[in-house]
Amino acid sequence: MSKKCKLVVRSDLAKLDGAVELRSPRNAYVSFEMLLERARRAAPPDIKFSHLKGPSRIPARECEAYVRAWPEVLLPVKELAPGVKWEGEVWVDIFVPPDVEPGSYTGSVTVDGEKVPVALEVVKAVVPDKSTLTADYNNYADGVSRGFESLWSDPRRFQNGRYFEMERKFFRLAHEHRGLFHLLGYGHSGKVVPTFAPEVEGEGKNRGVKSWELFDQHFGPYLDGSAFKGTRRGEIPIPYLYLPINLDWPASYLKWGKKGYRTEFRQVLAEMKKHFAQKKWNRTYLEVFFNHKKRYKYFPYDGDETRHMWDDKVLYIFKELAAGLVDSRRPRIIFRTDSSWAFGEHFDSELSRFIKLWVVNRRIHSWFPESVKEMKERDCIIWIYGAIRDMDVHFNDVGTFMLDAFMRGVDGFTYWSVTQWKPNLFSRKTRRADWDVLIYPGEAFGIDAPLGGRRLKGMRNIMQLSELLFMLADKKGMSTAKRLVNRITGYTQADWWSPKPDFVNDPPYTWTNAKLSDAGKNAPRKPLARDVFPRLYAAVLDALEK
Amino acid sequence: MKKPRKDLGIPLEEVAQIGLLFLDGDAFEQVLPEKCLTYHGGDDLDYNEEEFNLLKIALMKIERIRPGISALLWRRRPDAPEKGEVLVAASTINWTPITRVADLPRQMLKCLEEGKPTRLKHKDGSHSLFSPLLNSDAEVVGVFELNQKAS
Repeated sequence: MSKKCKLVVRSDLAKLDGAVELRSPRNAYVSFEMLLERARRAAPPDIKFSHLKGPSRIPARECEAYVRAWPEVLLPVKELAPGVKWEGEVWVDIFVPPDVEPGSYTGSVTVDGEKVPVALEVVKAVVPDKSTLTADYNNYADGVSRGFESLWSDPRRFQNGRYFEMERKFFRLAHEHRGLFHLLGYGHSGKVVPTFAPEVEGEGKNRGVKSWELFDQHFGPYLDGSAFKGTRRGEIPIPYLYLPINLDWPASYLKWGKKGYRTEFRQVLAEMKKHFAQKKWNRTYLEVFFNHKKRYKYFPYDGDETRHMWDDKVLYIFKELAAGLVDSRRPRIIFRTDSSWAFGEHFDSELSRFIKLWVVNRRIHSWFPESVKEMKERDCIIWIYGAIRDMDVHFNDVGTFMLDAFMRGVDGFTYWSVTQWKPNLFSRKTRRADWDVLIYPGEAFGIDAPLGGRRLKGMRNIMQLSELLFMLADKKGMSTAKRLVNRITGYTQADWWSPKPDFVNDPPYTWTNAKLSDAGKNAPRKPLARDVFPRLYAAVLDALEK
Repeated sequence: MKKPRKDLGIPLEEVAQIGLLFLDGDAFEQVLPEKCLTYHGGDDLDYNEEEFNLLKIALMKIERIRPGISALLWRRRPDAPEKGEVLVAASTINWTPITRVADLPRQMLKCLEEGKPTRLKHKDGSHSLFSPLLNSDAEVVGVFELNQKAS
């Protein structure tokens, strides 16, 4: 082994113990990491890849190298400017194209003149372009611009195309990493960020859309998939999009409770439905979601995570206001709600008959295994949500979101805010609470684009694993796939759920944060082994090959 | 209820006087249910919707009188009289987070204690006019803030 370059075992999904020996399905990324001996380097490393040769050829252009900067952001070596500090770790992605022949491939990576052999076994399985589970990377507008000083200070950014250009890079990055960049376009006050809604004019019976131009320019490419041209997953329309509809748009809250509110709401919503149909934007769920919380003092109802049961009335009011316009017929405008405190009351209530998308607190969801069957019978889509609280290099913290979703039989998971950039983002004093960032602004490194971190790339590979698990379930049954997960994790099926706490039958508004916190401590799951994801990946590939 | 097409040039003091005609101090006293008068965490907060909506809609109309203003109602915390918080907001202000219970500025305390309007210029370039909100017993029950954003 080279003196300058030492391989480490702690990496991603490949077993690395002295040589780069990789195994991968097709249409998938496989990754490894190298730790260079001289840590914290300022000069960009000189990295060259050979073609990988075997039954067919994997061109060198399918290999990409990144270096890690604090805390975990990965900088593309090709774009690394001299003087940018990095931590001595090199991350390598190899994309295995869908059309290469299965078999053994060999090649090399040369780092600062030292050649390291690479062996890759390509198996028959082909990871599909589409994801079965949704990895939802939630964000709030206009968070994107805040990371780029020249964009943030440009008041014309929504009109001159600069905002769209930058935001598109975020969507493409998430898409390439098998995730959904999900961007709520209004604030708690109900104020809509420019271009996140069509321009409306008039009041009452005269309320209507004045112009679709900027809205279409903004969202059209995501809804027809053209924004993803040139990505490896291809031009797949985004599966979900927040609509700007809220308590103060398209109807003014000034008319709340009056007939004019209903008039304004229905007229604009009907125009939206018609417009989406004309555009044939039929492959995306268009979400009507009320993110308002009383704590922001703008409205007297919690639309999001209702705790006081009477707040649910606002959801029923909108059900009536939207009658005939919000349903699963294409274009699919649907209601969404995020549920935590009151989930035990919600899941079998009337709400789950008309609200299609449920984003449920991961821990509270774990108390109600019976909810899944009930909600699936009502055709609900269920995601579990939470915050990331660990910079775990083995991806166990982020990765168990996927395993929880798969093992509980739900449809996806949400990281609640992956671009919540604090001023100390790149400081060594970063606090745990700031670790839910998965996508970073490149400006600090002289790169005019968003950058993924190690955990984003780890999650991409774990999302590939989820597809392999579904393939195994198709081939050998879901119970076989779940047994395999339990065998590798050492869990039982019961471990994916938690016992109901004593207070669960009390009204949620009587619960306290202390009670909730204690409930989490009652039945902690044993931590996953550090190598659980590489072992599971290997075991699933073995099972698929049999 | 249309927004004015242009700035009618109505001074902030006059906007406040007009606004106070339509802001019901008794409703403000009732905007929080009894159990929430000394609430602590954000998710503990609850409102009486009828009173809230009455005040909210009045504040929204007041904001339409003059461009670039935000209209909000503050209360003094009964459990910490030197502190206070926004309870009803038509739109946001930038000089302080409106979710927070915080020490009240001296000018707001003066308005509450003397029942007279006061002014405060903020670091963000905006300025506020604080007016006492009275109930039907002519008691000061809160502060009506009009915040003029920096031009």
